[in-house]
Amino acid sequence: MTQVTPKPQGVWAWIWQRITAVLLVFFLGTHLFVLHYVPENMNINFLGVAARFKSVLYLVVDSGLLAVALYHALNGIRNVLFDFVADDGKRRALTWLLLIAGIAYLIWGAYALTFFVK
Amino acid sequence: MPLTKHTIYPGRGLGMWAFWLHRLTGLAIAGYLLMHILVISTVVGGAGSFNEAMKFLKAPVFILLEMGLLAIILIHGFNGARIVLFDLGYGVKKQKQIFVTLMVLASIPLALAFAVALPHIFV
Repeated sequence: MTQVTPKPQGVWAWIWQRITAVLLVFFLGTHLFVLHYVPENMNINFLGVAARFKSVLYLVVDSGLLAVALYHALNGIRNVLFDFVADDGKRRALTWLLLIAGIAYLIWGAYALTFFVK
Repeated sequence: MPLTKHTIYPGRGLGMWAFWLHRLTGLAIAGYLLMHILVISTVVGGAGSFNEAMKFLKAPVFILLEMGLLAIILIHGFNGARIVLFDLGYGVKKQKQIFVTLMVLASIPLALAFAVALPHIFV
């Protein structure tokens, strides 16, 4: 097994991973329920999504989901990678890489969502 | 506090499998999320390209794969509740029973989703 010497990491990343986890139970729970447990919604198309986005609730749920899920996913990947990478410099580089990827995805995803609202 | 060398997850038994299951399902969902954002963003090319992508993904094989995805999400979510519980200081000594109970509970929403999806799998 891989041996690493852990350095104290920011406790906030760990706390935020838990906060986003709890938020995801509600956000993703709603998202999945609406799309997979309501038979009428199984046929996904542009007009259907655009109609849903007329409600503020879906707008909040879906854009919130985008940000929260991206944070939880990319920080989760970081947690796994850090168990295999002990070097401080490499850890910093990985953090920046994931942060930039997260921001790029967030901007692109939010931009795409506006097309349903127009 | 000085930190000493440690081995990645030194445990064994059911708890170890729960740990690895959480990581593998997490990585799988993270991969899906990045793909999902790209698929939904076909809407940037107009309503037509979005509808085309959705029509393609309505094929029974994708609905079946979605059920696999849902199973993975439910495992990760229910086991995640177990992790949060432990962090708050509850249930560590009963971790195995809690894991089994949560996995049994997770199978209920999975079965429900299967029932809803069935007409879309066998068309």
